[in-house]
Amino acid sequence: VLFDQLESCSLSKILRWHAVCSSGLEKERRVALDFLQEGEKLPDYLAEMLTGATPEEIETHFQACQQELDIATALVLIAHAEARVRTDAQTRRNAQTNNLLNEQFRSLFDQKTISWKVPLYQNGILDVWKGYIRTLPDLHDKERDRMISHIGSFKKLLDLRHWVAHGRYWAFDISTNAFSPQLVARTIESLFQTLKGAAHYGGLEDFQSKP
Amino acid sequence: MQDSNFLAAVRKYSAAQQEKATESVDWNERRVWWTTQVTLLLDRIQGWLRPLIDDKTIEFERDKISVTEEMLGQYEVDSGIVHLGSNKLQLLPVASVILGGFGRIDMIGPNGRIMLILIPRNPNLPQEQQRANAVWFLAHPAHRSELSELTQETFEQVFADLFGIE
Repeated sequence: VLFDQLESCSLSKILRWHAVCSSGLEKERRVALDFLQEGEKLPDYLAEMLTGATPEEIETHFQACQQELDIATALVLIAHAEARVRTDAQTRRNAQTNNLLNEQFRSLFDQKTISWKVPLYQNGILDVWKGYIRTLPDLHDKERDRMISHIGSFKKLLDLRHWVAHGRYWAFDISTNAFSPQLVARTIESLFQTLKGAAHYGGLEDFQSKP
Repeated sequence: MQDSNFLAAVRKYSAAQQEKATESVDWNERRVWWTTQVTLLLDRIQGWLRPLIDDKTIEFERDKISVTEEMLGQYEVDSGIVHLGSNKLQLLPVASVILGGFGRIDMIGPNGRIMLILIPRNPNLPQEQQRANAVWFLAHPAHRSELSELTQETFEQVFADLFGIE
């Protein structure tokens, strides 16, 4: 399986997989359009969804497939980010060294018997990071605001993550086009850079991420 | 790519394009054939419904609609509407150039949509004989590979389903 090892997974690896899948979809789209003029019997995998389809319907179908691929990729990217942030928080919680961030994580994790029940955002890991950034001395206000806004931008991705992961049973009022894999990866990269920066300013262990 | 390879590749591509051009479909002939098939089908359906038309249980309205397709251009083709009480069932030609067949008409009623698709009955025939061998099949948009040939019996079933007649 491509992404089952957190250590070897990265945003760029996920984006490369997305590019390969997109390329495959494009080839299938061309195959379908070629069949239009031939009038031949369709392969089963095309026949089930596209028998009788007009050229416009073929285009619409493959655009929808691409959107689904983009959404699935966004979910993989966001889940990867969540895993990185959670793993980092647990590492700090278990570390022998004492500092404000580690203590905050200890306090947060000690409130729950199961670690995955520790929330990521609301009163959770990322709020601990935001609180830590607010305490950092010698940080220009603009830089502080920028770092906190990057964490806020990641929170918006979690709305998509919840909607997709829970089967989309409620209306999602933001266009999924706003969550292209490239845009999602950039938002996550900004989050990683923010957490790295915060750790650096505070003289802490580096935030472990891979671009 | 070496020069000789490049020249050979371009020549091969050019030959393939020329071959494709000579094999190309006569789209004017295809358009005439397609609009005729639509008219014949509507005549057939009208015939099946004749007893209900004659006793005024239903009204069968024939009209022309304009369809535009990239290969066939803009053309006029027969369409039909069956009026039953306050409800109606439309028979709308969609296109001749479609995947897996030679044309499609949609039947749209109060309870949904069914597609009528012209498909060769024997897909193993040579390419040039396939159109002459095409017959109408019924397909549900969500299960397009499950085709059933259009007969009076299957039409009556779909007609009842689309109007919600028990």
